[in-house]
Amino acid sequence: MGSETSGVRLEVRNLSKRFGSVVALEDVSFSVRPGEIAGLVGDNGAGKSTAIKLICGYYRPSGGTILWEGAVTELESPEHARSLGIQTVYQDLALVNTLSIARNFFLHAEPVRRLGPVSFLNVKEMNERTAQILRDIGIKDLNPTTPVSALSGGERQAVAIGRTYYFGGKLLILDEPTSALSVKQTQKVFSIIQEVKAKGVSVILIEHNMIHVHDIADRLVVVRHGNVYGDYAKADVGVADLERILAGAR
Amino acid sequence: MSSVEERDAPSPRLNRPSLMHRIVRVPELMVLAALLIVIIFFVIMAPTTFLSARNIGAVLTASAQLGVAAVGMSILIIAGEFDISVGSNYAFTGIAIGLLSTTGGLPTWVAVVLGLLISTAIGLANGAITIGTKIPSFITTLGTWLVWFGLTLALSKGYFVPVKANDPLIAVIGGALGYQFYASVFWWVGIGIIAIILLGRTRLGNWIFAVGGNAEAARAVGVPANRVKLFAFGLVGLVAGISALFTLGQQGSMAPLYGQNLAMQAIAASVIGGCLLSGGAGSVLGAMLGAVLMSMINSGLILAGAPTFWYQTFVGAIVIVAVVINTSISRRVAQMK
Repeated sequence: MGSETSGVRLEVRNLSKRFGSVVALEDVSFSVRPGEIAGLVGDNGAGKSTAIKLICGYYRPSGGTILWEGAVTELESPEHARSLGIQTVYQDLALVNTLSIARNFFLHAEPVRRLGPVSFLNVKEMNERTAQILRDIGIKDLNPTTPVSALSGGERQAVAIGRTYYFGGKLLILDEPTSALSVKQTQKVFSIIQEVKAKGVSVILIEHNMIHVHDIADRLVVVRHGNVYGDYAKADVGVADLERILAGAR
Repeated sequence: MSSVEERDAPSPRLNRPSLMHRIVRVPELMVLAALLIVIIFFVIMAPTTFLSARNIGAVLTASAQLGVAAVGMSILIIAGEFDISVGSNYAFTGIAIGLLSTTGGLPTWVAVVLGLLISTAIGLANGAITIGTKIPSFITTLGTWLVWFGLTLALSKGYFVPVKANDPLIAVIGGALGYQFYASVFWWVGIGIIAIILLGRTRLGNWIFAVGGNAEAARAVGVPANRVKLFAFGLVGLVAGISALFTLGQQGSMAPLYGQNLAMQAIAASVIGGCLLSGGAGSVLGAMLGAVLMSMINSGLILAGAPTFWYQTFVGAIVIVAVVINTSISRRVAQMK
């Protein structure tokens, strides 16, 4: 864990992003600690997605710095970010429906057994380890061989989150993980986010529903017009305050 | 947050799939049922001839020629692409091997190796064009189908092109073994087994399914999606060349007009065998059995004394029934935990 003297996993300082003359993000600063859930809230077009894409290496910032575990870091690509432990789970892109849970879980990281010059998939190990991981994150009723197409939206998110955690995710970025989910499924996804948090993973959560995000987040970073309007501890800001801020009142 | 814990009680959502689930999830189920029906039908219609050694040999030999193309085609369909040009590739490669070994004076083995390199390169070119232009492969290979068909006619000047008579290598690849049985059957089965293992038991196989099912999700975890698709295109090219070798072994020559139905038949065999046209699901074994089914219908109709043009009608009807049943099964399987 190297230089975690400051105890901060990710810190962004004065981050900005321009597309030509359009300023998408200006002077954004916030940080996340291990085992902390930061809710990133803001209206549509406020700059949340741009901020996320800078942190996961998809865009390069126009200005400002990103500190990863205390060190200034240039994120060159999503692959580079992923190799550091910055994992993003998107709503629809996360899983292959036609493959089983286990085959999705180990996609591009499949365990193999070497037999002379050829490597064969270790299907047994893939299934057993997937079952173990599913139990670890609190999903006890799914068979690893089930095709993902059979899962509910909440279960899909759960599997996608479990996957990133298992493969060394230290910072999990969740973009609207519950936007298409029922109340019950949302609770399930949140309980898995809590499980992952309890294991020391940092979470940045983008969420539209102020009640949900206030419920689960430890800190709330409010983005408005490409700026950080405020960075609040949960206790210092209520759901009503958040809604008022977002609606534009000062 | 007790909603998860609440489900600790034995739930109907099982930790072990039921026997019923496991049976319905077998992608080859449909084609096996169809084979059974067709065999019973023709045994009744042509009792003495249909199960004769000669007919079984003839059916398997015809299956090998179509089925080896179906092995590649099913993998390409699973990867989410098509190759309509496979028949032109087949004819072009067969003629190229013939010309290289006779007019060109090359040793047969050199001509064969060069021929397979040509057919693989044609497949890779289809892939490169499709991936590079982002145009659907159905369109790009429709174009290359005509391009290579034209070049085949130009190269052969419209005539049959023979290979050297009694060449031992050609005999090993596709020579007669008696009872209408040809060596190609063994090569086909061997290639099929390798392909089945590749698809089901290797990382590359997992990536092929993933790329066909959701290329973006596969890319997001680092699967080199374009290279996986390119591999599948190259593979279809390679098996088109192998299919041409089988024909050279059986007949000693290749005609420029041969193979013009090969792509559609290979796609039909793949679909009958359980491949989803949308990609991401299917079976090499199913496609091989689909090729057997189609060859069986062809020879069965002849033996039963029916005019052979019924073959197309039969196969067409089976393709439609197969797609309807496969789609409804896969929709149901998709919902089953």
